[in-house]
Amino acid sequence: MAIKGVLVDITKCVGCGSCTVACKMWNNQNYVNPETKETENAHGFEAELDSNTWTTVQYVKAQKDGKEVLRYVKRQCMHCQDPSCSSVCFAHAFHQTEEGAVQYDPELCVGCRYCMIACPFDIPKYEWEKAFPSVMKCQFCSSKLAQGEAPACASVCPTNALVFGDRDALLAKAHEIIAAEPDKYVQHVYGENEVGGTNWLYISDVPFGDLGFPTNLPQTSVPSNVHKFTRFTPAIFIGGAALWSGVYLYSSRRHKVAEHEGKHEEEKHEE
Amino acid sequence: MASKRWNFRITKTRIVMLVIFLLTLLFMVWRYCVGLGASTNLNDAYPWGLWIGADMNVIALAGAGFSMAIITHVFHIHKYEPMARRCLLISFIGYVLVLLILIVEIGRWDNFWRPFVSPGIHSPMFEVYMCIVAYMILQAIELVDVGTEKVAPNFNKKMQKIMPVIFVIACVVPLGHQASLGSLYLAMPAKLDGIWASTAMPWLFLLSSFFVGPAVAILEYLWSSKRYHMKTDIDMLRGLTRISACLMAVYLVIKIADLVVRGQLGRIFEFSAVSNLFLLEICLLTIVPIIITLLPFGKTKGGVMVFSISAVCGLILTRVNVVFTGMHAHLGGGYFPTWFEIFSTVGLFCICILAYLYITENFPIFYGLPGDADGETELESAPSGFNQAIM
Amino acid sequence: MQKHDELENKKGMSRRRFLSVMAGAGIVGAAATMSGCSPVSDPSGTGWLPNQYRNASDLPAQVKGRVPLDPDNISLIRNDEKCILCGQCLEACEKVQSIFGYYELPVHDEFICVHCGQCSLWCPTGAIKERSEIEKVQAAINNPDVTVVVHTAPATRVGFGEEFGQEAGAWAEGQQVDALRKLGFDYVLDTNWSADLTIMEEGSELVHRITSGGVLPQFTSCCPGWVKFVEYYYPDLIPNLSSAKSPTMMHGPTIKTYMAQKLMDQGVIDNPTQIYNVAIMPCVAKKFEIAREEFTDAAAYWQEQGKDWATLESMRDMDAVLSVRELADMVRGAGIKYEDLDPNAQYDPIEGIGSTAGLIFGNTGGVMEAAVRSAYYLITGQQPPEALYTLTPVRGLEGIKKATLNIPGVGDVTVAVASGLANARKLCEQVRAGKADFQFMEIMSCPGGCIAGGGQPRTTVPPQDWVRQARIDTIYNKDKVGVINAASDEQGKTMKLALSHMNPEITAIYDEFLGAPLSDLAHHLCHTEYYSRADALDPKN
Repeated sequence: MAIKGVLVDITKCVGCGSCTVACKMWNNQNYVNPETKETENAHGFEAELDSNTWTTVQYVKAQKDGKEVLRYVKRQCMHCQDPSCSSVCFAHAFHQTEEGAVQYDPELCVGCRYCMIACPFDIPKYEWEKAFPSVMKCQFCSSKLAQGEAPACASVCPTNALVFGDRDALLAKAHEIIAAEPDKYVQHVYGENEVGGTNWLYISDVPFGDLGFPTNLPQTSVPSNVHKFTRFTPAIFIGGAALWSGVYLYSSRRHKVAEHEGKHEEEKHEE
Repeated sequence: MASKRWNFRITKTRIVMLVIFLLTLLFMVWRYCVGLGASTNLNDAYPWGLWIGADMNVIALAGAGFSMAIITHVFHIHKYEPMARRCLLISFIGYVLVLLILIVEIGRWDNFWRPFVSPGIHSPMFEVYMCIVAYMILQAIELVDVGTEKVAPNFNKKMQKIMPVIFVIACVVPLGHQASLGSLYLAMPAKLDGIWASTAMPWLFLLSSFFVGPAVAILEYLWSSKRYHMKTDIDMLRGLTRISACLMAVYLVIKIADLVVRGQLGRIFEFSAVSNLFLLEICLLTIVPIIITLLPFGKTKGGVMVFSISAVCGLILTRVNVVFTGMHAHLGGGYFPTWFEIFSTVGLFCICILAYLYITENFPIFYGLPGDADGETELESAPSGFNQAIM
Repeated sequence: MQKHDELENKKGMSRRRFLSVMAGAGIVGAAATMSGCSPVSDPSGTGWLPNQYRNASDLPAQVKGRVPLDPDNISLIRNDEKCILCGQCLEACEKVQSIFGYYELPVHDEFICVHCGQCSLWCPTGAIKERSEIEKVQAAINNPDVTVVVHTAPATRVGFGEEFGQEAGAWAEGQQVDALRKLGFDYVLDTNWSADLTIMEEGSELVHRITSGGVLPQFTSCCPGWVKFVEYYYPDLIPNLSSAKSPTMMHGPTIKTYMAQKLMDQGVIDNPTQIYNVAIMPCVAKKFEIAREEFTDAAAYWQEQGKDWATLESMRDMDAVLSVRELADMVRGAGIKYEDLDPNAQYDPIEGIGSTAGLIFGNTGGVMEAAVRSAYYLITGQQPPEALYTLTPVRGLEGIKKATLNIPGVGDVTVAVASGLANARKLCEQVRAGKADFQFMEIMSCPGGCIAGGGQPRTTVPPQDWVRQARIDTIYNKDKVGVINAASDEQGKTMKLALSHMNPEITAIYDEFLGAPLSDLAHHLCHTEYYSRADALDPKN
């Protein structure tokens, strides 16, 4: 099955927050902030992701052509093509479905929270208030995707600011849109190459940095950065074993020779 | 050996430490009931806090066991052998402390076994975890070797056949986790400050934990010598500082080269809080100790001690800088541990010190100390020093 | 060895004891850890969504999502917990009101909303509702130093009863007045009075425009949603809007000037800042209207009189607006039984008498009809002919209605009436294109007029025409009484007459205070200006 994705056109979002409501409905979540215990909407200037809120629409005041403009930025897991969370999880609690959804399995989670700190978009959130907590994040409605449906958020968008489809097709479409209106759009598809590519893609008329997107991300995947070291792991062990064995044999032989030459005998250290 | 009695001296300090530990256990029960949110200041912005910082440091310092083992068991530099077993012990206890802290720290402690059945093989954390577990098993075998020396000499004789292999493997495994600790942060290339974010980090972590090992060993040695009024072999310690200093110089060169290659050299002279902390780190970890070894002062007991303290502090700062300083700009906001995070860290540290004292007083750890022909007399004489013991 | 023993006897601790202590602590710890609860198992979503969302997103769905609503919207709030994404609010906003979907994206820097509140009537779960002002009104009532003056809009008296289980359109004028008294409001006035005042001003303005060649067609300006709609979408047509304020906004400053003077003379209050003006409205856009920055005319009046009682910021013309739904909530909250309310309770005097011409403001076409009646008088100096008392072509629920009347001295005057902003948009397009064949245009944002306003009871969801019609009928039936009274020339006592200019309290305020319609003072207190909101959006048709 083709890798699925969602194209978010920031310019089309009207901030209705339907997607946040759909997310809560499909995932059986309430509106209580787990930290403050206050009921709050998942959209607004202060809206933030938490373990109980997998997507938000954040209102952002930005400058555009010398005027202050209001933009609405949907936030959720970007579903990286080569996800950090998955690669850093030592219990393999994250995996990718064949549709490209990055899935979390709380059964396997040990709770080290490495995924939280390793995520380039700071998406995974923790159930701090629970005695047996899980990491929480958008699952790309994998249960809906498996039935050929759009994720809850994309299915309810009244302005088609969120469009669900095959990532390749969406990427082509995104380029088409921004090329057609070069004066309007920033000529960049966010998510095309960020950390090696994400399945959620964004286009915008305001620079992404002004909207709170991290702009210092590498264009290669984070796991590949870690792999710059981990690929040496076998070498370290084999090389280390060989090196130490060599040194061991050499130095112990030298000692034995020295002992034979009649120097002071040591009884205790025969190893 | 039937007449041999197990012994544990009780002093006020030890009682206080025991009480702190027992209270820690009690509070841990509370923490398991209420979760991390209520007991700690960890939050979604700061998922890692004091405990992880402490673990990073303890693992690095527990590298003493492995560096001393390499020096004595692999390179067979016999004059440092008095240090080997002592470092084996403090290293093992250090790793126990790491696990104890992790049991408090991880959210799903009941799932600790999952990585064995569901391995995330690409994770540096997996490598750290597996290496630490493997290393602790190896260390346990080495400790059994030490422990059976007196109580089961026949069994011990048999063990000697496999010990060389164990020693070598035990010198290989830590390479994995010491370096992997550094690679943990390779996963945050856009978050960690450029001063530290380097693909050389694993190697620098490995190297620094290695050369700070002797410093840890020296401090422990000096402390024990004082407790038991034993003579100190300054020449031996001096030799260790020189080995250490050579590696420090290598580290310094690599570090600077790394900064130059990545175009970050200018950053360290910004004299911002971040760059100042980096400068402090690099001075304490390398420059100050190297200078000390070059001075006549380095030949004195005081010099050796300052060398070691500086290096240990420098190492701690290295890890703290990565975990907190380098991440602060990205994580933002504030994190300061709660009383529970601090108390439990102290409490678990206490039980480890108590365990260390208990073991050193009952097992031939100090054999081969200068002035003692064999471990037996040393052990027998040890309790006499207890009344003046500093702990 | 001996040493060992001695030491141990003194203060030593055996290994066994040490270990047993440790083990005990360990067991306690382990047992306690078992007392946690299990975590969630399946995080991939097993919830419910309306069926139209169980599709791939690129399939066209008729109804999707919901209206964008500023969390700080002054009139409306939405409870996301209750929202089921049925899409009804969008249906109302886009199809009925032509707001959503009628501006280009991206938005500029605000949520586009005219505060009509139709979405709150269509919302099946009650997720969207008015932003309650009950608390601050209650605080004013509870404050002994404050005189709380309330006036009730025409349409409220055919909605109030419905909140208490009465049939659609039940007449509840007396009950509402009595309820307000029982709630502790000090003066209960009738917005029908200020509607009459509006007719005088707006009618005079129309006559002036017609006779002096002013901008035509003239648009009514009673509906704040409509006014904001013009400011958003047709800023070029602002000159067409009557400068006369809405009844509420005429009532506010006259209470705090004309009536305040009388209350000061009576010793009820020391100065107008002690008056707290509340309006009971079938509308939530009124909450927006009273907050419009420019409505501080009473304070300006007193400053001109040399009184430093209040700054423009500290005293606003109106202080609060309660929808009928909020009033009903207050009544229920106070434990007042509807059955116990007096159906014959009367309004307080000074600004409390209204004609049934004011009453029919509540119906679509009503302002037009009332205005025509008085305009006829203002132009000809004669009472209108009987035909003008039942201006059938502008009555009823049809979206756009037109009528042509012959007024002696002026000739044929064509009027257009529309309710529902989508209908208004059609008329505006005609005007903009210069194809308007009418001189006077009445627009109400809500289909059916104020009787089906966004603050009225949610008797049927979504609003149904039979309910609207029932309310309309009740109002016209009451107007018939006024017509009979007017025809019999019976002025004064019962006050149920169908001509604004015959309202004795209207003639009184002109005689005693304002002088004449369109006088300087009348301009000052009863007229306003509008401003373009073109910057807020790029219109799209």
